[in-house]
Parts: sequence; C-alpha cells; structure tokens
Amino acid sequence: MEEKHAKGVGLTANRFLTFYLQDEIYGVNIFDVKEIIAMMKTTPVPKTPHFIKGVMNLRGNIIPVVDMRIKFDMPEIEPQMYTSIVIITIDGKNIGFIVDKVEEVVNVDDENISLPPEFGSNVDTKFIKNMAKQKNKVIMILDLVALFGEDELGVVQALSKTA
Amino acid sequence: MSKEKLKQIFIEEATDIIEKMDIDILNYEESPSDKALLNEIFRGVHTLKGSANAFNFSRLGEFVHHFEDVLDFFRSSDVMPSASHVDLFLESVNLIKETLDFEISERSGQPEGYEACLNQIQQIISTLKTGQEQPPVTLTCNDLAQEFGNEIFDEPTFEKPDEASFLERLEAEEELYKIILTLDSDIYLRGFDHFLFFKNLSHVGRILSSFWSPIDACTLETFDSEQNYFKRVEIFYASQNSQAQIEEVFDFLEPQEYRIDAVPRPIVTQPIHNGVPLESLEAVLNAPVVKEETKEAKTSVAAPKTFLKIDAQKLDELFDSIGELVIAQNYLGENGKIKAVRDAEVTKTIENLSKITKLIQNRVMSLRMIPIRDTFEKMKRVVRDSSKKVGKPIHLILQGEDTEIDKTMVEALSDPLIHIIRNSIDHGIETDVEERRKAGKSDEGIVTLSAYHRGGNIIIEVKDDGRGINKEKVYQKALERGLIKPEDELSEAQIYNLIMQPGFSTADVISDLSGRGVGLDVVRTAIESVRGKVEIASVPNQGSTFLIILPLTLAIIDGMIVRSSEKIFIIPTLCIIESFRPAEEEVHVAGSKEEFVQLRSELLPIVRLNRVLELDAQKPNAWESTLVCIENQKGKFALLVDELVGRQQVVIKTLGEFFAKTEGVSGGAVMGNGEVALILNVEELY
Repeated sequence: MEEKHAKGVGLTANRFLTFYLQDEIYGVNIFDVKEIIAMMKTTPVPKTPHFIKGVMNLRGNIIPVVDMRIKFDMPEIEPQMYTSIVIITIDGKNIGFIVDKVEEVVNVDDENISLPPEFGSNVDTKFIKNMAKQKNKVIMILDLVALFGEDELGVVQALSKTA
Repeated sequence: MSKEKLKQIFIEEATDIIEKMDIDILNYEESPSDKALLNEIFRGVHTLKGSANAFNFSRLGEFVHHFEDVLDFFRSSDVMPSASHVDLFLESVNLIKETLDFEISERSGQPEGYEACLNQIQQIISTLKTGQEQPPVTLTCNDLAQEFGNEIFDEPTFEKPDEASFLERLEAEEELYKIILTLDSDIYLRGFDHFLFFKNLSHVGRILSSFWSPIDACTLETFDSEQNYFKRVEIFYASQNSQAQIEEVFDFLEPQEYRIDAVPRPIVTQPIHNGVPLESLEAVLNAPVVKEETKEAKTSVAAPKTFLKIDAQKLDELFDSIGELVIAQNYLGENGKIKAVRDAEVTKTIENLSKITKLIQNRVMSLRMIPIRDTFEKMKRVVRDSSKKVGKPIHLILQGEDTEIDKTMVEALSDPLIHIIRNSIDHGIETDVEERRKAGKSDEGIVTLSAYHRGGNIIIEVKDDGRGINKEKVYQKALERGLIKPEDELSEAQIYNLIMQPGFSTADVISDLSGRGVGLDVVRTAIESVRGKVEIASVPNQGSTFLIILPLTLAIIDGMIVRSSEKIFIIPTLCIIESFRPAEEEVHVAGSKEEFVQLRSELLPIVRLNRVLELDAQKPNAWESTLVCIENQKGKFALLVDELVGRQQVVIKTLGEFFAKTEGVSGGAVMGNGEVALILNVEELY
C-alpha cells in the first residue's frame, strides 16, 4: 500500500476535497484543509492586491481571505447560497479561500492521476499540480504552495509596498 | 529524563542562581553584617558547584570551587570582606557567567580574566587563612550585631518558630497550617475580637501555638481600649479540615488581612534550632524580639508558597481562548434577539456570565504580570558599575518595585533602562562636585527609579538630580546634524525628544559609557516595540526625568474607534492628543493640495485617512468632518475621519506575515459583532 507513484504521490495522499469555481472542479489535498465555513463578512485591508478579499475572524484569530475567482481572473460575483470559505493550512498558517461551492471528498486511484496539460484551462498551469480523473469528471489538483507559498507571499508584500 | 533535558534544566537554574547572586552581593555590600545574605550567596555557589561537576563542566566547577572557599571563609569567620573583596566577588560572578557560556557552547579555552581572577581568589584565601591564626579578641558592637543578626525593629520580625516540632505534634490526617494575621488598629470597631476568633478557630482544628508581635504595643498611659495593638499574629494550627473550611472562620476579615499557608510535612529531617514561643505578655514586653538568622532557620522556614513553571506558549493559548470568550460574551450581550427576550432568568444568566467572564479575564491577565522588582534590582549593578567607571558617587533610590508589569514587557525594558540610567549618570550628574555643592545639592548624585500606575498605563520614571538637559545645546547640535531646519518651530518637549533621534550625541567627549550617539534612539525603538512611549522633562540645574509610558499589557490596548468611508478603524488612544471639529476659517489650503488646520497657536497638517489608505477618493470638507490630533515621531498632525464611534479596550491580534508590510496598519482586533477592525499604525500615516 505504501508503494509510491512514479511522481512521488503516495496512495494516502490521494484524497481530495473538491470544489467549484464557475464550472470547473478543483481539488486540494484533504490533509491541507483545516475546515470549511460558510461565507462570512471580511474586512478589507488597504493597499493589498485585489484578490486578497481581506481578513476575517476565525474564532479569535485573524486570518487572510483570498477570493479564488479574482485570483484566477474569473468574473467576481456576489456571495451565493453555496459560497464557502475553505480554510487551508500552508506552512503552519491558515488562509481562507472563497470558493463557489464545496462538492465532496474523493479518493482517486494512482492510475487516474496525471500531469497537467500545458493549456486548456483558465488557470495558469503552474498552480496545477495534477489532473485527476474521477468518473466522468476531471479535477484540477491545486498546488497550494505554488499558489500561496513563500514566493507568492513575497509578491504580495512587494505589491502592497508599491501600491 | 534524558541527559540533554537535565542539562537544559541545569542551565536555566544556573542562570537564575547567577542572576540572584549578583543582586545578593550588591545587597550584601550595603549591609556587610548580614550573615544570612552571605549564607544565601554561599548556598547558590554551592549548588552551582555540585551541578557543574555533575555535567563535567570542569572549568566552571574549578572556578566555583575556589569562589566557594572564599565565601565559606567569610561566612564562618568574623572577618568582614572589604570593598575590594566585594569587587572581586562581583568580578567572579561575571566570570562565572562567562564560563557558563563557554561550557554551554562547548567552546575550548577560558574566558578573559579567568586565570587572573582565580589567582586573586586563591591569594585572598591564603592571606586570610594565615591571618586567621590570631582571631580578633575585641568584642565590638559589630560582632554582637553579627551574632544576633540584629535588625532593629523597623518591621515586625518574628523569631523563626520551630515548624519541625509542630509537625511532630500533628495527629493522623491533620495538616499543619501557618496563619498570619495582619490586622488594622481599628479592627475591634469592625466587630473583630481576637478571643472570639481564636475560639471559632479551635472549633475547626487545634491551635498549637501563637506568636503575638509586640511591635505596636503602647505604654499604659496611652492605652486605648478600642484600639488593637496586636496587628501581627502568627498561629500554628493543626486541622483535619480543608483550607476552604478553615477560611470560613476568616469571613469577616479582608483577604489582605490574613494568610493561610499549609506547611508540608517534611521529607528530610529538619535541623533543630532554637526559637522560644512567646507565650506570656510579660515575656513579650520584657524581652526584645530578636530575629535568629542561622542558616538552618532560613532553609527550613522557606515559605510554603508553591510555584508552577508554565510554558509561556500555553499561557498565550489560554490568553487567546479568553479573548474568544470575551468576544462571544460581547456578542451575546449585544445580540438584539436576546435583548428582546424579557425574561428575568435569561437576563440574570447573561449578566452572571458577563461577570464571570470579566473575572476570568482579569485572573488570566494577572498570570502574566510580575513585579518589576527584579528588573529594578538589576539596575543596582548598572549604577554601581557606571558610577565607578566615571568616578561619580551615585545613590540609587528604588520606588514602587511591587508594581506589576507584563512579563514580555519586562524583557524589553531591561536594555532601555540600562541605557537611560547610564546616560543620566554620564551626562546628567555633574562631574565636578563643586558644581553640585554650589547648586545646593549633596555630593552624591541621586538617581531615582520608580514605577507606578497612571490612567491605565504603567509609568517608569528615571530621574536624576543633575544639571538638566541644555536645551540650547541640543537645538544647536540638531541643527548641525541636520536633524531639524532653522525654520522649524519646536516645543520644549520636541527639543528634548531630539536627543532620541538616531545619530544624535551631545557629549563633547565620547565616553566609554554612553555618548556614541547610538544610545537613546535605541531606547525609543525598544519602548515603541512594546507599544510604549518615552517622554523627557528637564529643569536646568535640577535634573532631568525620563518617563517610559507603557500600556498595562501587550495584548490589550485602549483604542479610539473611528469611521472613515463606511469602515471602522482603531487608533491607539496613547497617541491621540485630542479630537475636534474645526471652524471653516481655521482650515487653510496651501497651494492646491496641502491642507492645514489652526489648532490654537499651532498649524497642523491635515491627513485624510481615506486618502492615505486609498479607500476612496472622496473629499469632504474638513469643517464637516472630525479631526483627530495625533502625535508621532515626526510631530503632530490632524487625521481626518468621518466620525468618532467610541472608545473601547480591544484585544490586539496580528494580521500575520501575510500583511506584515502593509503600510498604515499594525494589527487587527475582533469587535463585539465578530468582525475584524484594523488598528492603525500612526507612525506610517504621516
């Protein structure tokens, strides 16, 4: 069971939380997800990039919230009934991601996971770690460290400096 | 437990011991007849020696061993250490500190001065030991004082009663308690009666012995039957009941008037020492109360107060949870639906909850608070060293050492205090004694270090009685250094504040102590990092005062809540001077952009909050908005906001690394409705 996939993805790592942004399904590793909460009011922080929706109060702790739609250059929409915030732990820090709708937790077999294509999605492929085939759907597995790892954080800070 | 872990504990302990030793030696210098103190120092060194050898810290062990010998000599002989001996003691403590560092980091070699100091120590031992052949025969007052460890009746002192013998008298399942009453003289008027109290006490246990302090006793002529002359009573008490049950007897005493300590049963045999219970009044009045200070007495009567060492992280977590509790409680209290329920039970419960929450909050808060005493005590050494170095005799006065302060602040406070004190001694106190005499001051320079509360802040004051700050000189220097422009109009306080600008130094000669021009701006940075503020006041020829103003805790600030562009922001009240709405004719526009407002005699620049934070491009008239006068490092300015919402204590939260460099915002706070409001960083607004 512990046998590793050629690309280093272990079996146990193949559980994903899937969610919708517009019509596309994305997934994040379930181990990175801390919790899912309903959309709540955020406080905008001045002089930060547009995709940073602001900060919110997660039971006494203040965490940043990112609007995934804006980050992925999709049209911004008002919160809907299913709009949720997925709280994800990156490098020990919690960040909230606003998504349209949380779908389910899926197990994907190793053979159904492949490298991302070079094109074919709205999203810059550097954020996509893998493609997972599940039944008749294709899930884009996000690489959160690439999304909001140190490099990106550096960019955020630089942006807020020049803004 | 692993060896590593043990080592860690040793290092922690050793650091504590060394720190305490430093202070003890300084105190010992002041009262060299205090054998108990010497014993205390000796014990510290002894403990250090044992542990050092256990960890194969041979260099430390060797050094401490010889140091112990010297101390042991003074401890067991009548010879008093001279000033140069005390100097050597302090030098030794320094070396112990350095040697420990060497041992910890496993560096080879020896710290500088190790050999020299060791030689000196050995020399002392050999000369002292030969001189000891003829013991001093003359009995002087000093010797008597030593023998009895005589401390005059300035405070109620008791001979140390023999706890061990009381413990022996305990029956099965009984616990020994030591009860100390500290009563007022008007206690009878409040219905208290020693006799009744003792009677009640004997219902819940056995009174083994009681000690009545005769310190406040009066003569027969002045005796007033309505006055209590026995203010301090110590009772040894055996009871099978719990402490809580015993405390019921104390119901009509205030909490500060009594203390009940459980005396634990001994694990090792207690050393026997003499202490006669004062049982009859005559005996009390006839015999002077003498404090026995044998070393055995000190060890066995170590107060049975217990302490817990808690990981600071855990405390912080608890603190966070309390923050959440307070927020949840606020939410409940402010919830309209709950308010609409007109039910006595519900209202009562909510009120009760609010009370309990407050109580918990205060208690948890107090966990982080420690007296500033230790920090102050450390300054004694600083004063002593600096005073020697510049050759000015200095007398240090400490006040308000019991003022409690947030633990994290204590650490940040030490360095700035050292800086300020050194600065006062070096620049403040006159070098020429004649100059002091002429001004009618004592030869000894006086530096006063005090701590107290004022209006929700803690103030730490460093005051010297030196020549004061030369305003003109400061102003000229600042001009030379280009820190200010000739056209700048500066208030007195602003001129004094210039000395805390980076790269400023007024000392004509750069001294070893201070005057490198890097001193005082470090002070300001350090104090500001804990959300504090430094103010300077000075009177020519009378001295200068440095005021360090600190918030009560780091976790909570008093904030002014303001609204700008439909958004809520918090300004720390500490930086706000006042808020006002100007008249139309008081607002001036320079050129096409810069706006100014006339506030009394000052002209302040107007900073629009919505513009600085780029919230929107609206530009309401200044005379229809609210201006908040704020002072930061660069001076005063008027912040334009839509309106003031209110004043509130808020729990500060960081926004995390994500927003670490966001300009103008220093943190966030969760408001009663669960939403986050941003705390403004006034330094970056203008």
